[in-house]
Amino acid sequence: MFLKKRLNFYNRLQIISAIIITTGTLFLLSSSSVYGISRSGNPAFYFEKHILWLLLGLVGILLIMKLDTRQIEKHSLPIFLVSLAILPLPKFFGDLRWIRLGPLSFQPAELVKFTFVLYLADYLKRKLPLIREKKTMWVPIGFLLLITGILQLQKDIGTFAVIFFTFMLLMFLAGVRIKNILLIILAGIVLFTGLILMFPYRRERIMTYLNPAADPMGKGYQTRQSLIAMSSGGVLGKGLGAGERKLKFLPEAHKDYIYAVVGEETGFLGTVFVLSLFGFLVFSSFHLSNISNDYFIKFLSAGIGGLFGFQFLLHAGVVLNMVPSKGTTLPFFSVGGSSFLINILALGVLFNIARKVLIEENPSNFMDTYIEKI
Amino acid sequence: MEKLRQEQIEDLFSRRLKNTRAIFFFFFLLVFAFLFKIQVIQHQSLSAGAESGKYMKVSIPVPRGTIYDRNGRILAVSIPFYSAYMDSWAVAHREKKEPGYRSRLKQEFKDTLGMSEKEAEEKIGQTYPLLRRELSIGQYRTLAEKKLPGIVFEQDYKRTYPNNRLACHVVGFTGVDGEGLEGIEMYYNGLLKGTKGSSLVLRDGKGTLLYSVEKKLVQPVKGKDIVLTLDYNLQFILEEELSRAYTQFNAKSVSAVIMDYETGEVLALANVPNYDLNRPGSASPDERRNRVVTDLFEPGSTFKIVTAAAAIEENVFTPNDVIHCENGKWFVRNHYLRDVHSYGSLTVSKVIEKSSNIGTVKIAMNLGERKLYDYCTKFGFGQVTGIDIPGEIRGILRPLNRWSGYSITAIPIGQEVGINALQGVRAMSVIANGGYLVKPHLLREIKEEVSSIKTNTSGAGDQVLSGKTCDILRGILENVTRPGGTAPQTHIDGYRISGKTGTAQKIINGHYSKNSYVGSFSGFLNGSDEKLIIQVTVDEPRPIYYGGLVAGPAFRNVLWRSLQYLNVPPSGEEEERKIALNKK
Repeated sequence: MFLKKRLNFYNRLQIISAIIITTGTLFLLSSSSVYGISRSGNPAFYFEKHILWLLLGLVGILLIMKLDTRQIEKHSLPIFLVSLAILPLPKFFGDLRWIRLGPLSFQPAELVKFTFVLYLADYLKRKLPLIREKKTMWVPIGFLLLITGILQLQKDIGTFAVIFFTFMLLMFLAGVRIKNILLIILAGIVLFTGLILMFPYRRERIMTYLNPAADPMGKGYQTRQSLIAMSSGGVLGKGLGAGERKLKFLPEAHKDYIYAVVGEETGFLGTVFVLSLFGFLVFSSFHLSNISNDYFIKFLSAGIGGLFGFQFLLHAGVVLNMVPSKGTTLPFFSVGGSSFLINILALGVLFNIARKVLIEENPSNFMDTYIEKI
Repeated sequence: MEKLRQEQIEDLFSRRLKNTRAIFFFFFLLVFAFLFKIQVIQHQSLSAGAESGKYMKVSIPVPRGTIYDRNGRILAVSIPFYSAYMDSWAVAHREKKEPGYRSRLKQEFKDTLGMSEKEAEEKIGQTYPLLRRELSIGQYRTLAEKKLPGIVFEQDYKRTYPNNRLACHVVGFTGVDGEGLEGIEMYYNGLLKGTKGSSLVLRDGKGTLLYSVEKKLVQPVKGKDIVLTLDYNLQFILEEELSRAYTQFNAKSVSAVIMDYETGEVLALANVPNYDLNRPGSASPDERRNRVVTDLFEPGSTFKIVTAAAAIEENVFTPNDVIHCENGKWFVRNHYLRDVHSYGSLTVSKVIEKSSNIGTVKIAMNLGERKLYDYCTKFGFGQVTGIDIPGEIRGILRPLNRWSGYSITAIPIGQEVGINALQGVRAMSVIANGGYLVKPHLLREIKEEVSSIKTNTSGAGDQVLSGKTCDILRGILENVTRPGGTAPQTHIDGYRISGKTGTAQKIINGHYSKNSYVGSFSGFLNGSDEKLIIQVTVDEPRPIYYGGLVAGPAFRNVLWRSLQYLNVPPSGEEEERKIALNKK
């Protein structure tokens, strides 16, 4: 009975993941078609690329499932360092944030988001007994500052926020003193404010957040459009594909405002459905973190859950004007190949963890037969 | 150094994980609450202020149908062109991303569109200026390839007449709005025009039209292509010869028609002066007039055929009956009637051949007013021919009860009646084709997507004369073109040509003018597969004005060149005679 429940959980995780990916792909198609037309005349321009990345991601999941979490643990530092080395490359080999590889473009920041969690999980597991000491914190904080600096050059404040929050989450879980956590947050706020004040366009966004109606056709435009989209969707929405705001009334509807498209086309029911999907994903990760005995796995799954959770909350927060607009994509929904790929791979890692935690760490009499079956 | 024990670590972790879950749960709940507030509670209030995606009505231009001659040569065609506009909103947007974009555009305007500095400056300041109408292909390519944001192209069609002046009075032209204003373009406007489509196209937030999200209101339908009965080459020959006659005789105008006398198919129709269809605006009304159908003139001697035909058909006379022609001067109905040359006794045939006024009037008086009038009507005078071209006049044939006592001495010789040239051709065709009235027409075929609708080409109408009468008249008229007739200059060796000259004084201010004449010649080819009838009218030729002399040579040249072009062999009878003569 107990085993069956666990197997159910494992299957459910995969099914929900499949639903998230499918739903996301649908909305990606819906929201990006008009951008596809103006980019290349093909409404399915982004959709087709997305499918390619999806296939790549599925292959990635299969490969990851072959690995043992211990192998991942062993290589997490080098993986992180390599991704960190790639991070500043866009400066030299491409655009602001992307490295161009033929028809595909790759955003190293997306990779770092994930490998940083990997690194932290490994580091924290090793340093756990000494976690109450301030000096334990210096190395990760150093990396955090390094990443922040590079992201600052890439004007990617959204990704920075997600990384910062996830970092804080892992620190909190590891048992860092609340006093120190508050200190880091305080430092973070000072840094944040500094970054915002340094750049006028960010200052404007804050002002807009505070009063979106002040200039409806100007700076408050996107916020207003987003709220119009959300509210005009009502309970049931206008029907999948029938949204109007995505037709470039909403800037970047296929990236930073895709949740508004969900809201317009499928209404309150749709947004709540997506909310529950992410909720399930996040809490499943926390559940895995809770029942595992291995601290690397505990941190890793909590970190992945945190990544998904913070991204969803930030994205929804921007769309609903709960926080200032800062351009955060919604995992599995927004256009962005490398980000999509990394998110799928993160799911793969989650599956791997789930299998390990639910089945291998808790052996039972029936286990062997089950493993042979799969 | 503080070192945690395993239980402490575990305890701390699970406690904090619990907190984390609570925090996340709280935030997810918060999002849920916001969703509920915005989507459920505020649903009405916010969407009321929503600017909806606006549909814009866009018209879809369609090309006008092409006009072909009978052999498929293009007489009028619509070709697509692009006009360039500038969308200042998009330009401003681009300028933000790419400083200096405006000056780059300005340079582009100067380089590609050939604008002056001042003009470019002006355009760039406007909201949605038309940069250039009808871009050249090169200009369009250069601009389109560069994909400059904010440069918008609109397609439309432009009517073009590849042959400029050729057949201008038949083809006609269209106005700026694409409606036919003259000629075939006007008469068949409904067929040629097609239906402009219109559709509602969704505008996105940047004002760009999204054609993939369109609702067709009116399906665009291309105009129908039509084929005319005209023959490009015959038309060309005719116009060239008319121009020659026009200059040679200092005429006010020259008009002519070539028709198939069995079917009524108009093969060529021309007037000089004419105009360039591609620049109709610079043509004077005089040049634009299609005199063949719009001009009224007294037919003069040509009309004598009607009198003779009626008399023979009604058995009032036989061709060999003798009539005394009063030696050129006859006092009748209170005035003198004169002949150009004085004759004594002539047979009915000779009266027509020599074109004696006195003889003809005597024939008519024996026929009677009633009969004469009936035949005039039967020959179609006083009624439009119904040719498919706008502007045809009915002509003048007074009803019998309004004839004066003098009329019977005037109408038989083609005075007191007014006809248009085409009516003359139609009447002559009756004799040529064996007695029936044809309907002159220009439309041969309407091309459909899959098949074509051939229009009625037989054109056979009411029977006017019996075949026998026609045979007799053809013989009489053949003598006209022979040596000794009134128009020997129209004779072509080896061919049988029947014809009749016409010389009419013009009425100016109610009196017959002493020096303004209309000279004409109307003739057709006998005993050949090509049923050609040609009429040439020369208006106010100077100094000579006799129909045979001014219209005759043009007629002969047109016919001769047409015979060459159509490969018409000489008729057997004549050929044999010539061979026999050579042997002698």
